[in-house]
Amino acid sequence: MLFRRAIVVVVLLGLLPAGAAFAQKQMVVSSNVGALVDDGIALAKSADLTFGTIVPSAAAGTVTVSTTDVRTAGGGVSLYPSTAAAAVFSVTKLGPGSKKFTVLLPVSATLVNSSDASKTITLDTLTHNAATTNPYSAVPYTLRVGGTLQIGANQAPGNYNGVFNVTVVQN
Amino acid sequence: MRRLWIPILLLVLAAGVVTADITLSNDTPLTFGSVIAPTAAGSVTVSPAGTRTASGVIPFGASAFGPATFTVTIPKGRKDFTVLLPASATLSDGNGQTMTIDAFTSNPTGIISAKRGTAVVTIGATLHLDPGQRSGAYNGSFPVTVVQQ
Repeated sequence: MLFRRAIVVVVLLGLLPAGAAFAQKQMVVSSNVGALVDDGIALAKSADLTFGTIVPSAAAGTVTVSTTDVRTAGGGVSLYPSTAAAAVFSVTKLGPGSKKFTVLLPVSATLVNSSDASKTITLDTLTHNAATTNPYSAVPYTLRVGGTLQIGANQAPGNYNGVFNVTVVQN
Repeated sequence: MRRLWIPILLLVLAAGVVTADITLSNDTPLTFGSVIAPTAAGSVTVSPAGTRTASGVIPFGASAFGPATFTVTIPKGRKDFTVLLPASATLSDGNGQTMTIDAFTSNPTGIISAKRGTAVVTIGATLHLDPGQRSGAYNGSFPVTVVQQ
């Protein structure tokens, strides 16, 4: 009986290193990966920003058109009855899903006299009717942009035209 | 008496098989966030440090992005290990559209030491979008191997 027990112990010891050899020296684990692809949003202009007819004077002044088409004058400028309106854009979504956006407007733009390119008017203080903080405006959206014209003293008469860029960024 | 020894022998063997000297667990997935479908081919890279850069596509903030993070545990023995990453992996939208990710990078790199028994490894990669990549949520997985040195 004693002899048998001794044999079993020897066998046991002999197998121990073999068992330990199965211990993992390396391990494989998978990570998930994800990405969302979105079709984005589109912007299209449907109406220009117009300030109507303005009467200058010896004193400089301003004309502001709000995003709700309200025209106001400041300084030495008076308003001649005429149509004034904010620029109108449609922000639309491409593809499915709900989307939100923010608007980037330039600091200023220049309007040039159509008969004398040396005569200009500065457009600044551009404003829009979309949310500027979270929660941002949802697409589709009718985006309206207003601004302020800086009319010089004795501003030369004529038609003044210019262009400004509007950028919408999907959030 | 003899019968009693046999179960004990098996028990010791089993213990030897399951002993792991190094273990790896995935804590967070690798996420690229949202990108606008490009008209030309583009790519988005998320670095192991968690910064996102794009080429030819516009990422935007609707969803979070970040590297995969793993915790490596070496309870005993040598604390040094290396990380093996795949060459590429495939993401699918479940509707037959796929994207490839490659250029996997880890932080740290090379031979990493799990001082005090654990180490955190972050992994980034580059996602490639085809021109006109169809919109949708793309998912996949990639294997990470750690080898004790």
